[in-house]
Amino acid sequence: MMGGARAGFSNTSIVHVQMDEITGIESKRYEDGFVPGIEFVAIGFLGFAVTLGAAAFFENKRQS
Amino acid sequence: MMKRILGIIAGLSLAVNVLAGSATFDFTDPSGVSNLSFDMTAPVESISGSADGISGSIDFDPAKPEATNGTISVATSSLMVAKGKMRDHIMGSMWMDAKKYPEMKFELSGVSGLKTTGDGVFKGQANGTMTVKGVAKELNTEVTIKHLAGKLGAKLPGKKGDLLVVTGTLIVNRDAFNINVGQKLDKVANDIHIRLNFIGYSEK
Repeated sequence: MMGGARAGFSNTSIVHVQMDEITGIESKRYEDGFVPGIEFVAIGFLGFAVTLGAAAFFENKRQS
Repeated sequence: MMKRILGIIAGLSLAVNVLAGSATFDFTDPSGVSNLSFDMTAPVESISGSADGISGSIDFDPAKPEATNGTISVATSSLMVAKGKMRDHIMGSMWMDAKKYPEMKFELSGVSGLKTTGDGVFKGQANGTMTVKGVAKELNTEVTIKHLAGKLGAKLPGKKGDLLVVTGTLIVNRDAFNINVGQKLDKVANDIHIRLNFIGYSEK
């Protein structure tokens, strides 16, 4: 999956987690960038289902 | 004569100890590492983000860590999440109302039940007040205070002094701070899990 597998909806920022070596503190940096989320997976499945349904419909029609 | 010299030496040494003991740490972090991070898990969506607009000061004495006190502020406008539109909503009047309430504040009055868990590392219950959206609530939460003596130069090359790292976790309800009370609970959880990651600087 583009951007790496992850749960959640699409993001408009890429989050970078950094560890400060001196203090041991973790911080986040936000960089502009699109990270696709689960709605793209859902659209993919929907497209697959529509294509499968259409194929089955036309196959039935061809055989009858 | 000898007694007088010894008296002066003892007095000077006491003054040096007192001066070296207590220090004010500035929590405006020029390295941009200090942050407050938060996580909210609702049935439909999980939200996590952070804020790095930290400022304020804390007085700390390694000989009297229980007397640690001060105020740390977090700029509301520095709150960040990975979704731009969601961030716009957060800044709006229904949620954090950043224009009307530009700061969140942690006022620390002391630390109780302190335990030393390492060299310069203290764990205890931070007592004070947390103010968000103009609502002040008593704050009692577990914190770790790490005094890094002589380590200022590691963060700010050429400077001499100490660092003070204050970390802790707390859970607050958005209802308690008048943050869009009772609304959109399926998407935005009521419980906000907050992690404090603050660094203070004290130059000598």
